[in-house]
This record gives sequence, C-alpha cells and structure tokens, in this order.
Amino acid sequence: MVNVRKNKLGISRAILIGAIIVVVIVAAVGGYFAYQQIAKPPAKLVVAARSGTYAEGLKIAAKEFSAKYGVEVIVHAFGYKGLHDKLVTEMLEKTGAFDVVMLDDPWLPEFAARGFLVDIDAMLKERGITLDPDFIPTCIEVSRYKAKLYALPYVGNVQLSAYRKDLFEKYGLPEPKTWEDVLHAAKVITEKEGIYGYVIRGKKGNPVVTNFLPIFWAYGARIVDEGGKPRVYSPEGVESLKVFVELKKYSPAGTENFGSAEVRALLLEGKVGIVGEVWPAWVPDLEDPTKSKVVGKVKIIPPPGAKPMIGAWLLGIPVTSKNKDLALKFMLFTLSKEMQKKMTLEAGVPPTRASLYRDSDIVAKYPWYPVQLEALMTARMRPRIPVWKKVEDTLASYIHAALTGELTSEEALRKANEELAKILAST
Amino acid sequence: MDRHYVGLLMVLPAIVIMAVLTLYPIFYSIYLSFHDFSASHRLKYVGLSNFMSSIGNRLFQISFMNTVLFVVGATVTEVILGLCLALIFMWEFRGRGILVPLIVLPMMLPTIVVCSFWRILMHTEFGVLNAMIKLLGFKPINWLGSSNIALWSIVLVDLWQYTPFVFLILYAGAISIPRHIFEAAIIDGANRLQIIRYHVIPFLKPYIVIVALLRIIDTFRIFDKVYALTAGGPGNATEVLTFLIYKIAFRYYEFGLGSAQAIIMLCIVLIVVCFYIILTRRGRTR
Repeated sequence: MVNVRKNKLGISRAILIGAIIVVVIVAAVGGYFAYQQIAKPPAKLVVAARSGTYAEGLKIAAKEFSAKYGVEVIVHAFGYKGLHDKLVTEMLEKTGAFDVVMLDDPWLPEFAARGFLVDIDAMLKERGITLDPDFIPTCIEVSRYKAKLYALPYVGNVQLSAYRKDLFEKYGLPEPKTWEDVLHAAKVITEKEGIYGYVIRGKKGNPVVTNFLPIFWAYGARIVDEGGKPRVYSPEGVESLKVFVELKKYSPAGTENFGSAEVRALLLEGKVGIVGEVWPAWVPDLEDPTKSKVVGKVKIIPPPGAKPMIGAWLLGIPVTSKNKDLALKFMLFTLSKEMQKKMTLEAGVPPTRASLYRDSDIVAKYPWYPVQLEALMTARMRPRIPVWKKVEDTLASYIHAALTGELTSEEALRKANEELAKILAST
Repeated sequence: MDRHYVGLLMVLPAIVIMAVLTLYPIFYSIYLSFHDFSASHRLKYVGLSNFMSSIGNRLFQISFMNTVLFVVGATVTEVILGLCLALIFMWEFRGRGILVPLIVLPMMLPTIVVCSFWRILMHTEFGVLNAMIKLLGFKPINWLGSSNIALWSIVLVDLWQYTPFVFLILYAGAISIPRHIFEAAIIDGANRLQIIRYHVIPFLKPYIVIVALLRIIDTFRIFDKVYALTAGGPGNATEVLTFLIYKIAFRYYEFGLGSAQAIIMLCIVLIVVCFYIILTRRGRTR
C-alpha cells in the first residue's frame, strides 16, 4: 500500500514539475512576445467606410498600401445610417478608434463645425504638398467647410438622369433639356405606352429631398441664402414643387415610399420612361442582360436643367486619430491617379480626377463617364450648414405633405420656410 | 447573519453590472434632460424648458398620437386574434403538433428581416398582396405610401410577427386547465361554446391582462418597423416617439431635448409597468 502510494506520489510529483517547467517556458516565450509588442507596436491604420463598392475600393488600396509600406490597414464597413451614427458616437466619446473615416459630403459641415476633423489644408501646407489640379473643382469644393479643407474627395458621385431612347424615338420626343420637357414626355409615355412616364424616389428623409433638389435648383430656387436665411418659399420654389407634384401623376402608386431598390427595379423591368435621378452605381446593371430588360434602350444624360446634386464621398482624419501622418499618407496614396484608376476599373468606384473620366481604358468599360464628368462640372452641393440633417428632415416632411395632397405646394413651402427660419435662428 | 452576508456578496457583481449598464445611463439622461447640449459641447442648465418645448412641439404631439394609435391598434387586434387561435388550438385535433410550431415561426425572425420581406409583399407594383387584391377585382392599395393607410400597414406587420407570442401564452394557459372540469361540464350537457364562455375565458383572464400589458410595453417602443418600412412618412403619418427621439439625439445632436422626450416616454411606460407588477403580485398571492 505504502509503496503504491509513494509510487503514485512520485508520478504526480513528476507531472507537477513537468507542468511547472512547461508553464514557465510558455510564460517566458509569451512574455517575450508581449514585451516586443509593447516595445514596438506595429503600425496599423483603421478605416471606417461605407459598405459596398466604396469599401471594396478602399480594400484594394489598403492591400497595395500594406504591400508597399508594410503597414496593416483594416477597413471596417458600415451601412449608410450605421456609419453616420457610429462616427458620431466614436467622435463624441473620443475613442480614437479610427484613423481615416469616409464621409458623405453633407456630413462634412456637421463634423467640421464640431471640431471632429483634422484641418487637411494645414497638414498639406506643413508638408509642402499642393493639391493636384486634376481633382474636379466641385469635388474639392464639397470637401471644404468655411474655405478650409477638412477632407479629400474619394468618390465622384453625382446625380444623372436616364430616359428610354426607344420610346422617345417612337413618339418623336426630343431629348429632355428642361423639366417641362420631362413633364411632357412623361405624360405622352404614360398615356400612349401604358407604362409609367416617371418615377419619384419619395421615401421620407434623405431620398425625397435628394430626388427633388435638381428640379428645385433648375428653377433657380435655393434653400438658404448667403445670410443664412431660408429661401425655400419663393415663386421659383413653388413652381418647382408644382412640377414635382405633377410628376407624381405619372409615377406608380406608392412612389411616396420608394427607395432606390424600387426605382431601380422599375427601370430594369422597363416599366418607366424617364428617371430623373439615377446614380452612377446603378448604370452597369442596365446593360447586363441577366438583370435588365432594357439593354441598349436607355440613355444616360446629365439631369435636365443642368443642376444635379453632387453626392461625393470624402475621406477625412478624425482629430482623435493617433496616426495622423500615416493616415494622410494613405489618403494621398489612395487618391493618386494610378490607384484611383485601379479602384475604378476593379471595383467601379467613380473617381474624383477629371483626367480619369477621359481615360480610354476607363471609358471603354464605363461609356457614360464623359456624361458623368459633364454633370460633375455643373453639380451643386447641399447647403453647407451643420444643421443640414434637421433642415433636410423638415423639408422632407413638407415635400411629402405636398406630394400626398395634404397641403398645396404654396402652403407646404411657406410652412417649411417658417419652420426652417426657427431652426436656422436657433443655431 | 453570515449566510445573508455571503448571499449579498454573491449578487454584488450582478448589482454592479446593473448599476453601470442600466442605472447610470438612466440617471445621466435625466441629468441631460435639464440641460442644453445642442450648439456647443458645453452643458447649459435650462430647467424644464426641454420638457416644455417637447410637449408644445407639433411633431412630438403627432408622434405621440401615432404611437398611441399603434399601441392600441396592435395590442387589441393581437390579443383578440391570439385568443381566437388559442381557443381553437386548445382542443386536440390531427396536425396540431405540426401547426403550433408553424404558427410560432414569425416571432422567431429578426424584425429587420420581417420588414424587408413585407416591403416586398406590400410593393404597389410587384407585391403579392396587391396581386391578390387585383385578382379579386378590387383596386390595389397603396400600403406604405398613403397617409391614411401607412400606420395600419405597420400594425399589420406587427400583427403578423407578434400575434404568435400572444397565442403562445394564451395557448399555454388554456391547455393547463384541468380536463376533468370540461368532462364534468360535458356531462352536465354543456357544448363547447358554453365551456369556453363559462370556464375557459374566466380562467384565462389574468393571462390576457398580462399578455396585453406586455404587448403595450413592447409596442410602445416601436422603432425598427418604422425605421425599416416608412422612415416616418408619408408626411408625418408614421412618425412615432422612439424614431423622433433617435432623430433628435443622433441626427441633430440635441441630446438634452432627446433625453427629455425619452424621460417622458419612460414615465408613460413606467405607469404601465406598475400595473403589470401589481397584477402579477396579486396573481401570486391568490
């Protein structure tokens, strides 16, 4: 008995000693690596991006950047509203989680005014870098707030329009140059062809305002004047809203709640004659026979009235980033001509350099690019005010009131103007 | 005494976590609701003005009314439908074992998925609902685009998703009634309707009250369906409180005002919760 016990004790002691040795070795090796980590943290960039094409484009640039400079770049992708809310909370909490952030252009005034973003002008000046004049002027303009550059333009997105050239030829309609042309053509197509002449992307909030703005601007109306006073209630504004309400007659029922998915579906199914607002990312599907019933039948044009809305996506650096130098380096690398060309060809990201819209390789793949450049050159931006989101929501609710017939166009804009005056005065 | 002490120690981590994750945010938002946090980052004490301007605000009033309509519409119909289903399913019949899990299925889906496919079903042009309506020879309905209908369309989606929840609880109550009561009733010459009227419904009463309260509390917090289906439109037809608060706080950065409105909401929910607690307590002591 005693023997056995001793024997047992002997074995367990051996195991114990063995275990201690293993633990010590593991701890030593682990500690060594941990020490190395602390002593020399590997350079790493974290990017917050809009999911989909734009994030895919950045991933291409990130891979190239890592290969060239040995810096790990992590691209986190978020949905549209998710990205905005994520950035707001991160920047209010000052976590410094991101080094480069992607922004929709109307977010720029809101973020810059709150001191969330690094002054890029100052950074460039310090380093003696001047911006390439090849960048499209409107894209640079949209990256500024109060004349200072707070971001660099990454995606040259702009509203386009589309119409069915087969139907326009059939009924002898001219290419629409004004919104009266659109109205007339929509009427003819609705009555004679039995499909919808037009379709409004009318979902409340950003969609309906975005959809309405090119018409509003084409009539010479404006939202805010230089003094920061609302100007939506004007003869031009009322006239443009009347056109918008009139266009609803030729749109399918439920158009007040359509998002881009519904509008795209109608266009691809060949159920609509003119679409006033088409985004570059939608265009490739039109010529894909597996997705489109209108291959070769749709023409892309700059929006009638030549006042499309720019919808650029920008890259900025949060003030909380711990790697600002590296972040700027990555941005300049991403926005270089070679890299933009690669991202355009491989991921379909619309570039922000004029020369690329004329590049033969790119035009061969995206034949509508010269039209897009034309639209970009005359594009307008949404008012550069930090309270834009609130202004946009307020406008949306009154445009909706006019669309659903709750108010006349005149009343809707008068009331919108009153409410906007309060919002703008309180800031 | 010692044991009591140990017990307290054991639940201490849970209490700490609760305090950090639940109590701190609540008290912080009460604190915020008395301050202006909009234009600058500096907090300015403004007393009750956030509350006053909320109550006087047109959009807040509209949102409040819409929320109440939604709560009443959804809860009442869900309870009635759930009760009917429970009364049918309490009798044994062939296939019941398969049907019950099927009925409960919608409840298990994430709301955002439910909304995505209801958006397709309710599509005016390609939607299945309108296709059926047209087949029956009626005019198609503009489900989500018409001011008069949009809110009720959202109620419909909620019905589809949460009637099963009401059903499940009432069904559980109904099948727990001792069968010998029914046998006695049948011997006394009662038919099924009489059994339901005089035995089942009285027995289910507390269940109905509890499930209705749970649905009121839940529907009052409606957010995701509005966010995914209509974004508050058309016009202000589907603006509800939570969505408004979300916009005010996270889109307009007016955290003070947003907090004030959240506190008002919390108070309303608390009143309902008090009823719930009183009723469950009474049920237990009985």
